Amino acid sequence: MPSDFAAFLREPLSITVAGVRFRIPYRPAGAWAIGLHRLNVLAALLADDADRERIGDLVLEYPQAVDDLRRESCRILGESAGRKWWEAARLLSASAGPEVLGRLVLSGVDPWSRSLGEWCAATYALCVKGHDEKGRLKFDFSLGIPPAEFEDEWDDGADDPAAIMASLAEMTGKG
Amino acid sequence: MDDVKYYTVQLKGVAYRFTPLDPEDVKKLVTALHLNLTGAKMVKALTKILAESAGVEQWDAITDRYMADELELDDFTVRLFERLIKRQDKDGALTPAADAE
Repeated sequence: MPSDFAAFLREPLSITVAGVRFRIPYRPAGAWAIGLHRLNVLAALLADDADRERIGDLVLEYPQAVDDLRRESCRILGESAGRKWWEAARLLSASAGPEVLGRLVLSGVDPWSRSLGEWCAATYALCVKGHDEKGRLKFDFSLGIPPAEFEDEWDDGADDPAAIMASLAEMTGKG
Repeated sequence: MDDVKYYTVQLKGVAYRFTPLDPEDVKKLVTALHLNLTGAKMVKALTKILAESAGVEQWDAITDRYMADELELDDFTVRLFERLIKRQDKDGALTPAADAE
């Protein structure tokens, strides 16, 4: 479970690929956004050049390295953003859209000076700005739906089923 | 009975037949290419699976053409790989065996 304070952190991360541990230096939100188009290898794209080469060697050498790299890329994306990795990915993608990016830049938020978590938080704030409770819940639900193959991560035990049902009832006007 | 599927690809005017690439190898190599890996290791990995797919005679002919400066290295490594996986993907032949279970 990502830390509540992950958004503030500027610490290096570590990943393990084919049993080998790598240290990924802190990267600002801009670097994550650029690497996102290759989510499966994102962690390696954020690594320094020597480690990226070494990870590449492992990918060619060990069959499990491809899956390890994909899993670790998703994990550090979620950990750094302080939310589920697909939520971070969606917020990052949304932040690259001209309107959202334009508003963020006009408000003085620079993706090269902010952490991934801060950037996602700013994007989220912009996306829910002006929404009433229902609109915000709707946005939260669409953000939180896991992609295909990751449905099992939907229920991580962190949510209270009663609270979810109450929210749903409220959303649908049956509360 | 020969029911092996082949993909015919032209390399600068000459057509060659390739057997389908192993989906697990493709997955590995596509990942490595996404890392922008360069150099001998990448070429070696690509040529290994492409040579298998082409067969000894055809691969010898291809490398002879490279030695004769008729082909660039990329023609029969990265570009050939990309062309083949595009064709295989279109046929739905890139699903790894484990996923098909």
